[in-house]
Amino acid sequence: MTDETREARHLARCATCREDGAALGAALRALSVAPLSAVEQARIRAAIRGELAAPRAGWLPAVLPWLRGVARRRPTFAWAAAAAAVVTLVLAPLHIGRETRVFSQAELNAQTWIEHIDAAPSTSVLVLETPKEHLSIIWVMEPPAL
Amino acid sequence: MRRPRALGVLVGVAWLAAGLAAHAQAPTVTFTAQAIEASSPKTPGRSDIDASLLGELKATFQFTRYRSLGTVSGSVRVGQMWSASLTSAGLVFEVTPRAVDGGTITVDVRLLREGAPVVTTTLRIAAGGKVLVGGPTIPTGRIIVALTGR
Repeated sequence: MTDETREARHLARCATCREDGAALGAALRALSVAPLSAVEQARIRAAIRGELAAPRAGWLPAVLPWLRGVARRRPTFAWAAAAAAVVTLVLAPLHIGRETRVFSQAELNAQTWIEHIDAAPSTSVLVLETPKEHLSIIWVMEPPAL
Repeated sequence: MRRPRALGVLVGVAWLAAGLAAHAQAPTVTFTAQAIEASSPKTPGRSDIDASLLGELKATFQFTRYRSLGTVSGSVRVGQMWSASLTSAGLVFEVTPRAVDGGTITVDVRLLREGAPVVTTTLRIAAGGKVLVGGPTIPTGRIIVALTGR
């Protein structure tokens, strides 16, 4: 229902408001309104031009009333959308900013880190690194078989 | 009006739970192990491994021939063991990823001969990085295992 329809229905039922409305209209019509001066007209035109030239507000103010309407009419949809937004906000930071640079094979090999080495008794272990590709080599020398 | 709201909350909670569960699932690591025989035969033979790896090995050791004995690969979840049997060498190569942190895999590696560990090591390797474990004697020379995880 529009505001005008609501107002008309109320006036049809309420005698007090009808009388007040009529009195107010008569009072307004009785007032003498002076025409705008040239300076005031120029100021108003400048204000309108400024308003037209101003950058438009973002899409959010335009969309918000529609979203409010949807939330009122379809609460399920609104809750589902809110849950999806929460999931996105929780998970997105876990993915954003991850390393995406492509490493060369030598760079990848160079990142190898040996935390510990255990060898069988009487076995020697050498840890080597190749010169170009930085390959880590764990070289095991077993005792000669008896 | 209460039922649609409750349904909406349920949908939201299910969505959240599904998202978190998918994220929390134990990551899978794929390993590739290439067994290489390093030897110095009296009659010179042709090496048949990747040229860049061959160059690195020739610059490090004095073997004259590097022959691929085969390549195996497999995928396991963190905490599960993956093993490759180097039958011709009588060795077993065991790999167990312990953790995956970003692009780094922490992995336990064991080389066993007749069930007894020859060497046990814990490594942190970059995804796509390669590490070599070698040295044990085989009838035709020495064995080298080139391990890659990603």
